[in-house]
Amino acid sequence: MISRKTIYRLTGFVVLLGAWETYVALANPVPTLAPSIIEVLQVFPADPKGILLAAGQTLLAISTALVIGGALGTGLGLLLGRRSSLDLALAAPVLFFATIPIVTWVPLFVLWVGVGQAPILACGMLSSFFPSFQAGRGAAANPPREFIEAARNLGASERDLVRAVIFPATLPVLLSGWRSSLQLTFLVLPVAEMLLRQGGIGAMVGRGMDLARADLILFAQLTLGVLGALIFLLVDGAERYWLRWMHADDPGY
Amino acid sequence: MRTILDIESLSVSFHPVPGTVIQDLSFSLDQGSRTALVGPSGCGKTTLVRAIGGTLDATVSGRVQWDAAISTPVPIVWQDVRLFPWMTVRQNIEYVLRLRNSGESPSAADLLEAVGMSWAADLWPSRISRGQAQRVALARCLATGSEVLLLDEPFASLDAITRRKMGTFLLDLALSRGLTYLLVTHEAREAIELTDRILVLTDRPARIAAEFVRTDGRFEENIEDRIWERLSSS
Repeated sequence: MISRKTIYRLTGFVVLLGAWETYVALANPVPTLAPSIIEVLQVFPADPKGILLAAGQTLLAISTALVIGGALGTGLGLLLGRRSSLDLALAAPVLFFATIPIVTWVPLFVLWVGVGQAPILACGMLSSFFPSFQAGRGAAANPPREFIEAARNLGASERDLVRAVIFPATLPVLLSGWRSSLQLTFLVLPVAEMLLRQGGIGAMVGRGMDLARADLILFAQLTLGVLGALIFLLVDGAERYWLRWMHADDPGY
Repeated sequence: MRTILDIESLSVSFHPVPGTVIQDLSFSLDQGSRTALVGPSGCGKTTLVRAIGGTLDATVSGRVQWDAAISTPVPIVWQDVRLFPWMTVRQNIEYVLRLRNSGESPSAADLLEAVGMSWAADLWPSRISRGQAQRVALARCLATGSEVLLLDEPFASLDAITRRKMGTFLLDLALSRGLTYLLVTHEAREAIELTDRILVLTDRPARIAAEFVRTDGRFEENIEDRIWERLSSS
């Protein structure tokens, strides 16, 4: 049975799609500029293999960029958070680079590593790096002192401390950093794909622009939206499980 | 009676903060004794407990000598409880049992039973009240196998009724298990009810201003007034 919450959530989509269809039916605009929903959905049967491949390529690129960029960012952040001299020397330049719009790196990456998947991945990794770096730095600079002291008093070794106290206590901050990394990567990487046209859903948007086909662009956007929703549902689920102790008082959990 | 803790000329300061928090403090604890340290808020009671419990990161001079039979660090029951919120009540106890890893230690279930908290074994600490959490914290300290407990104002944030119940519970537990404890408090009444020896501390730097001992099961007449006199004149 469908819950009331789900019905409310679906209502928004239905109203939006209904409004679009009504506009197309009444205004009768040029089909290539404002296609109907059916025309947009017909993009898939025209090239199902190509679209699935493009979606897979984008997903793989986002995952790879997130894992590598996130791990590097978290690692460096934790290191700098623990070592004040290193933090003084490196944090300012890293944070300066974080202010530069990531898409502007695309031409440089092309010059340095050539056209292909590499500059797109590099862009994605950079997007994943900065939020994880900030989170790692924050987590390391603010260790849960009272819990560390309590664990030490109960006889915990350094290894026990890291595994059973420091890691779970800082996990909420680190996960929040990874979530931001994923959001940013999801925003930036398809743009890089669109600029370089090396495959992926971003490239499909670019092709739609080249061919002046709004149905292609809208279908690519729809695919990105669905992919994003699925990814964030997965992330939410993982977060709910790992941080279930934080939501013990929330009846929704 | 065997002396299990001997403190001699203990002084504590926090570099670079000027001044001394504890100055030239000496006393000892006998096995099975129940001692209170009473002092005004901010006089350095918690610092003293942390120095004795071996968790203090400060400049310490003097001697804190535990009997060789006592395994250190001696567990502290904290005012702010400090149960690990990402572990269930049972996991909090099991964690300590694993750390100490002594073959003859009781099970988590036994310890929770001893503090009357078996029913909460699978709950997160955030789902139980402050008084209940403090009972679990006591069980967690008992899981270390220690027969000595350091109690840092463990009932300070409880309401009056829970506070009284917890005091009685602590006393019964100590008597039934032969525990030695050092209770830090700023409440004279609590010290009188739960201990047989009271050390009154001065304001910073903390020094011992007076000592009261229960003889033949009783403290001297007007003990509460005398403690307050000492506290207000220090």
